[in-house]
Amino acid sequence: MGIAGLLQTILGGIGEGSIYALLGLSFVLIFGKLRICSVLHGDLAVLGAYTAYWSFSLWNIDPFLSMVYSLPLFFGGGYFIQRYFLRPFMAMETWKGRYQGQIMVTWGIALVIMALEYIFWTGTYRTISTDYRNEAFFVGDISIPIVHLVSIASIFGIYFLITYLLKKTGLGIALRACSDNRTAAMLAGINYHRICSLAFGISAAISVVAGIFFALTHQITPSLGLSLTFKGWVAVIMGGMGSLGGVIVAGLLLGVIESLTAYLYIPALKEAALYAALLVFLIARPEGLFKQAKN
Amino acid sequence: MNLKRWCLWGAAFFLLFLAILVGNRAGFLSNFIVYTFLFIIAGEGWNLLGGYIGEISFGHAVFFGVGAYCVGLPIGYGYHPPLALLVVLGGVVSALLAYVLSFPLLRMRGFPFLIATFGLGVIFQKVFHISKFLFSTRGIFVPPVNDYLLYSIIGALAIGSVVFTRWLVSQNIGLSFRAIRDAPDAAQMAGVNIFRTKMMAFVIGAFMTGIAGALFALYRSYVQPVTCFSMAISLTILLGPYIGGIGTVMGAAIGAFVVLGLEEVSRDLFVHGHHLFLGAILIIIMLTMKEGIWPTVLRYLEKIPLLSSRKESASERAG
Repeated sequence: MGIAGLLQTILGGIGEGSIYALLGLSFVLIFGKLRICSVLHGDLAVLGAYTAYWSFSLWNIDPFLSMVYSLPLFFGGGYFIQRYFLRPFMAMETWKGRYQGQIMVTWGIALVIMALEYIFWTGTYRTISTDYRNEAFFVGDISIPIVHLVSIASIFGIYFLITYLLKKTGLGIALRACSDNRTAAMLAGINYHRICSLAFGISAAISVVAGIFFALTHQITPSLGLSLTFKGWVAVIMGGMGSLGGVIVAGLLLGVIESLTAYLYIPALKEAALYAALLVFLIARPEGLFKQAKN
Repeated sequence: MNLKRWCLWGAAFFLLFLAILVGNRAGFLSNFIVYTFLFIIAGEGWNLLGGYIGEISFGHAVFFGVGAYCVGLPIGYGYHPPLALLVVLGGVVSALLAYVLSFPLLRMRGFPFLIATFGLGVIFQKVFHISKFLFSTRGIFVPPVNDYLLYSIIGALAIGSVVFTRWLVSQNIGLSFRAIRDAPDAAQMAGVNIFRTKMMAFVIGAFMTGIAGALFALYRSYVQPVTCFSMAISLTILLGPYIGGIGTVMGAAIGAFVVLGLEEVSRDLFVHGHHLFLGAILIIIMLTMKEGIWPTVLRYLEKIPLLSSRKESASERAG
């Protein structure tokens, strides 16, 4: 247990955490702005992973290449889900049970997705064995898997994409208008529900990206969906419920906490440590790492 | 709420259950009903905080498992106190745990509370899984109890928990619960101590869930982290009230039957079929009958002229 081992663990943790950060980003997009709670995205990520798995094992298409059609597909799916399943809850006030309702519906959908995954792919752990899966850069004694590097890079890529989207594009400005003042936005001619559906579609696509990275670093089985979802939400809560930058930092931090616990303490407790960190955090600093300026 | 009438109906149901128990000779049907009863007890407990106040806890398996281990641990270590004492101990320890936990946890509202309780469930499951002091995966064998006796007790407690919850909710504190859910600021201005009230719901609910867990240990004669602390238990506990009718007692009971019945029926259909049906039902219920099955049924019944001649509407009476 030397410095090299510790450093290796931390870097590995950052790589792991990048997946949580990606999922967290997808949550923040719909929760921070539009107050939509979803426990669905983890299962969407796993479903995306399975799509990539099929693309690879049936047609030999590289997972990243498969994103070309899986991202639009899941975008459409997300749009569909928001439009038909979540729309009734958009009008509810928070204290009237809006979040509970959204959580229950999305959880129902997640269960259905999970059951379908069991039917199509069974519970056997599946691996996407691309050539580059096990390749790594070596810096001295420390190895950094290529997939980790790509996933960390993609976090920043998606972060900048979202920020650009929100600040410069018409859709983004409309989204911010919807979040600031719904009535005024509708008066200005913005179709509130359509914006919500589009945003949900985008977040679904982001979770697919997360899922593909997850598949390239782990083996997938249907039951992982819910656990991924909750880890993503822990990242959101720790980052400050609406902060994009915060969720990235929190997600990476969670990955590091998991890795360090596995390395220094007991591997079986690494998830427990993640949630314990959340509890400690919630007691000490409930507002999150980066405080949100408004509501 | 007419306490006497509820007690009489409760006694009637209990006699019905005894008849089934004896007629079935404690066979599969009785087994299933008793298993559901356990989740009714836990579900009614969950419902206090989750349904009436609106704070959903995804981690009630913690109290369930703690109750189970209160029965299992002493036996595992070789002591043999009377089992009834251990069951009560299960409830008491769970209640104490809830009391301690309410200080950090009840500060959060809504979604963070959900995630935090879920996290707590994961922590407990993992810790119990690996701790050798707590018998980790080896589990503890609990000496079996006479089936008829155990099932009758569970039946009585289940029906009792429904009546008790209904009674509790009809007291002032029940009004406070609903006030906190529907209009928290107004409730606070009216003098309701939100934290104390939530804590009371949490603690009482944990007590009931702990008792359910302890009885589960006796029912299964085996205590193990996977079965007692798993997320599946947490989710089954809360699905009953959610599908059957959050915020009503009968709803929680009926919901438990629906959930567990579905699981039994779809077990043979295909693997994880019950997830499919459960998910589908959850979606349908949330989109069509937001309040759950029982309140919706009551509303339909009200429309039938014969039944609506009563002064008080049925849905108000069900609480």
